[in-house]
Amino acid sequence: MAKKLSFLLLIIVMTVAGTVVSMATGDSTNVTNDYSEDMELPEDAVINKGEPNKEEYAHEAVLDEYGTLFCNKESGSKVTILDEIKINRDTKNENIQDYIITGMITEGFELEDNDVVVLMVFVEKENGYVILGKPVEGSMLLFSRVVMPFTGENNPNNIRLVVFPKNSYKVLKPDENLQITDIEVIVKKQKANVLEKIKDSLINTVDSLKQLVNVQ
Amino acid sequence: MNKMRLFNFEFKKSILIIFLLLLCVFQMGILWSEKNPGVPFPFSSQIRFWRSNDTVDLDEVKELYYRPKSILVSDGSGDLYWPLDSKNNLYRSIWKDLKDSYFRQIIQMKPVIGDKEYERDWYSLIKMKTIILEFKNEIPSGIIRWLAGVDSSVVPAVKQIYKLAIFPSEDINNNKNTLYVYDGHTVYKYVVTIEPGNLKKEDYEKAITTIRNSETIIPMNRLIAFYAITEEKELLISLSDKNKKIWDLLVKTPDTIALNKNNMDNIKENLLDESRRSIITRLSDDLTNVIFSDTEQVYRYYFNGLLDYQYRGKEAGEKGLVEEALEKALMFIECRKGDMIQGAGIYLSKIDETDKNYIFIFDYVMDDMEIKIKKDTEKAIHHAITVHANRDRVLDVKWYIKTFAYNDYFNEYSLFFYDFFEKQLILEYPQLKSNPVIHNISTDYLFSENGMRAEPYWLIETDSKVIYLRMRGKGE
Repeated sequence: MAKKLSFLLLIIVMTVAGTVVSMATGDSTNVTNDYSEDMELPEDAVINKGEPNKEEYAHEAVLDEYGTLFCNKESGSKVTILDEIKINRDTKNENIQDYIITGMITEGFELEDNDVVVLMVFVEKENGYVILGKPVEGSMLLFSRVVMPFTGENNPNNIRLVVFPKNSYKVLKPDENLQITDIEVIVKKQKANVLEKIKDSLINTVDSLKQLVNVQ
Repeated sequence: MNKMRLFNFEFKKSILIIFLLLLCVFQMGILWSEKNPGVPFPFSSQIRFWRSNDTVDLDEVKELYYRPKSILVSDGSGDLYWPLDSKNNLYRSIWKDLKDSYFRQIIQMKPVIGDKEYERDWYSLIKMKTIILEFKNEIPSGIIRWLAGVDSSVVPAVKQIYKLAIFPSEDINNNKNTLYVYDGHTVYKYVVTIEPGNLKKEDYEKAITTIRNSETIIPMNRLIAFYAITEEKELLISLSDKNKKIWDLLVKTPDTIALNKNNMDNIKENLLDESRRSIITRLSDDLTNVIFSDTEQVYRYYFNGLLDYQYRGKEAGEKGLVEEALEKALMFIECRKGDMIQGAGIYLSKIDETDKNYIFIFDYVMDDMEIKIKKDTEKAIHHAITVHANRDRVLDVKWYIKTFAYNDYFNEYSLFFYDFFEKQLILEYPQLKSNPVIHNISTDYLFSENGMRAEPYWLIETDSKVIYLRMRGKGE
């Protein structure tokens, strides 16, 4: 009888122990924190608080600093960093204003190891320039998708390409390491088919009638 | 009663002796025809369990060995093309029309001379609304004639077919289709008849006008329109952000021909021809290869599935016509292939010729991607099968006999050319910056000669060499 009872007791103890272990959720953070707080650091230890050791490149900062140079109508440059520039319609998309700008870094232009070239695309708008799309980088080829804001033959897009080596961003000089190239792009309006023309003219007629009714 | 019993016993004995005699004659006949393959009558051909030249009907299977590298739809955007998947119904219907009907008509009729300038310029034609079919390399029209089942007395006007463009809207007749055939130099114009069972004209037109709505097809652009790093006007790349799901492949040597001492009979039965019984067998000490040879031919078969066949008299036989040599090459493959190769198709990729014979190169293809062999020791890429043949016989074969299946892993891969070039190619091959001339770009499967896994790779042909880089999947 004693044997049976001790066996039953053992079963119960084991079950309880198992349940406790399985329900326990380890809070490792606390353990680590406790340990690190108590831990003594050597005097010469350097604590990295996550701050960058050197100033990092940022497109926004470059735009802030050189905005007036990039967007000055009179700006130009003699240096050629980006060559074979091609501006093609992105025919994959239905939107006639979607374009792809590509180019290759000029053969003779020497880029430092691990350096890349930055391409910023601007368009002339209201007597100034506004940036088109995101600036892109490349070590040999460059590729940028943009949406041209203007359509029609009388409404050309005056595109300005600004190109420079990324590592030289602190000192950009038009005749040394900064290329500014202006290109005119005309986005031709799609010829509407006959049905669309009829539909448009009907809409115009209805609008005109509505306006007439409103005036009276 | 005793007499009766004795008669019965004698009768049974006689029957048994006659049976044994017949068996003896039968056995002798088998041995005779096996030892002398050239006997005037085929004693045992009807009871063979293995495939031989007599049991293979090449007319039934020959068309399975060729197909276009791609069928592209152009909606007239200029530099944009939609490649059709070979599993796509439209692909299959277009290819059926060409192989069963249009090729026959092209071989039999004379081309019309195009009077407009664009009709003579292939690159102008393919910018228009059309469906383009491209072979990987030029196919001699003799082969097209043989594959299309046209009488050999018919002399085709075009010497070879490289690419072909279908212009359904050009001819006003509803039962006529206009084809422009490009041989690599000249464009030939054919107006063919739309036969019963072919796709209708409006089907072709609809395919062109609606292709843009397809969400599953990743469109391709002409590289030359964007970057001056190639002189190939038709080299296509993807500038799309869409990813493609690609499986890794499990590559195995078929179990039936696994190299081990106990499997010699199976290997002989599957890889050798009728003369297998008179051949000498030598298994290497390290069990890595076996040689079967006789006075005329040598088969060397390796543990990794490589079959190296050589006919000793390489100068023997006449060169003949290319289709006659191809027939011999296909017969060699078809007699041995049987059911061993699963998962992938075998397609003719290239035809070369020397003074005395023709060289046929075949590739395994699975999910529209070629599967090639990477020899790490040589840093070289090999094709699945290379056959040297003439009109009389096959002279030399190198064949990696493998069977394929999806492996346990797949990933989403970006086909965006710019990303690949800038983030992978130039980083690993910076010397390309000084001379970035690209002749071809493709995505293929590669597996090591002794490996069991095929993975997707970028293959770049430059001026100096072929570069292969493993594709990087999502998260890699």
